[in-house]
Amino acid sequence: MELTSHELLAFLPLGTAMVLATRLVLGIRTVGAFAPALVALTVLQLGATPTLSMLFVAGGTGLMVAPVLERLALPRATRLAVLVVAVCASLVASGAVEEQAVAFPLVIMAILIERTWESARVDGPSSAVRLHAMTLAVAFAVAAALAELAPFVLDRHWLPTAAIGIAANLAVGSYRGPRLSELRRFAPVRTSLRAAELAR
Amino acid sequence: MTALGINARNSVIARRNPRRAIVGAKDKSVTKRRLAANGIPVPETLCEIHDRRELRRFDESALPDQWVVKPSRGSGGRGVMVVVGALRSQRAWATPGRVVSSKELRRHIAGILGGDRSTGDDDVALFEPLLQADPEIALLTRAGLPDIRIVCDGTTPLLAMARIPTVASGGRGNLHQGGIGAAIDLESGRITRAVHERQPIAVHPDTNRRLVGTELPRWDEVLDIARRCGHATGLGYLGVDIVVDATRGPLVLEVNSHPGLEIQNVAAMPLVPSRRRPRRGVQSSDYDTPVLV
Repeated sequence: MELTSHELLAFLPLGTAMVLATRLVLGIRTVGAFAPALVALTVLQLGATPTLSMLFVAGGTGLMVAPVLERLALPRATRLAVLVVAVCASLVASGAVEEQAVAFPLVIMAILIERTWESARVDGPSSAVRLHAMTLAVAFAVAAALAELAPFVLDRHWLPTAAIGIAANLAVGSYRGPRLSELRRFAPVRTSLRAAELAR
Repeated sequence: MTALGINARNSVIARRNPRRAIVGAKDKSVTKRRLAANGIPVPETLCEIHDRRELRRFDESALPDQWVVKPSRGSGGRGVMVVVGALRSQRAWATPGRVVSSKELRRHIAGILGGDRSTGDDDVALFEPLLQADPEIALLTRAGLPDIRIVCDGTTPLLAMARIPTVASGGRGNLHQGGIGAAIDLESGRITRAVHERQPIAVHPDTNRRLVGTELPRWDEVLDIARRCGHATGLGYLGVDIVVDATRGPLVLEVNSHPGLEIQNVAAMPLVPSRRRPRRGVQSSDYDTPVLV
């Protein structure tokens, strides 16, 4: 889908509102709120297959470079800078990068790779894979939802779309109720309270 | 009444914990200074390394045989190295499971200074003596150091649990890594319920020692210390991690501005904090004005 920079910017608040809703209302864990929204915009712009191949090349390179950089005991900022350069180089060299890939979150991608490496080391690889698979799934779901809204935005209504997006972020962000995932998580507390009530 | 969810907890934190107090609580070094200035016992600091220049000058031979190094702004046990013995002739240190050379230690410290194990871009390496659990608590487990987490609403303790390591958890008390959560009755200091891998248990899986019904030593002191931490750190809603040391008694390891919610599943009771923002200028009548450092 061809998107102008205005349209991309108009889509971003809507995307982040959707990601926030999955986190705050459904309780789905993603790596940050912006990464899935930016990946969703890339999917919208390039399509699913080119985005996946870019993520595959960038993620693969990063996960190969990250352990080497760790052994060099560099400061974090230096490590991230080298990681960004390595990811850029691999995307250009592999031909995976597309000309239209304006929204592809390169720096965020480097931070994600670093976090993946760290969370794989601390919580185990399966936990890291699950978290990133969920982040990708949310990104693709948000992309599908944004594609449905595209005719409205592409009809040069980008300003009201951005305003609606900001309002949606404020509305979702002020939700203080339980997350759907917490119904299962706090089942022991619910059961105990119910038993206490019955005993009374 | 229902369990406190993350959204509701974050709303409580936004109202009750000022930004400055949160920043302070995330830094162990700052927290220790604030607590100590208010007469709250904390582990001794052996030394602090702030930058690579200090690391080059660092004389590790001055360290005792057993110590711990941790990132001051780390969390979740990341970057903590526990040393249980000195191999001075080999210029090496024994950690649980392996021997670490002097070079590896310096690399680990460089990683801490570079922000590897923290949220920021740099950090401070904090050295403390290795604590030994009170003999009564040490009997509960075969590996690691059990600690006590008390979630407080100002000066009011809401829920308390002991986090007891297992062999499977690698000596760590973290519940998601296989540690045991044991709910403690606030009045008596007695363990009322224990949970391992989300299942209720009565005995420790490694030692077969009965957990439920065990009374923790020096409970009144532990509770009093927990009550005073909010006032000293400026946090209105907080989690206080306390270790009962064999020689020094209860010591505050850490104060958490965003305490986790799993304590509710351990106690099978909900956290019910006050959601009101404290009025300006109102101090607790029980304690003196905090010393801010």
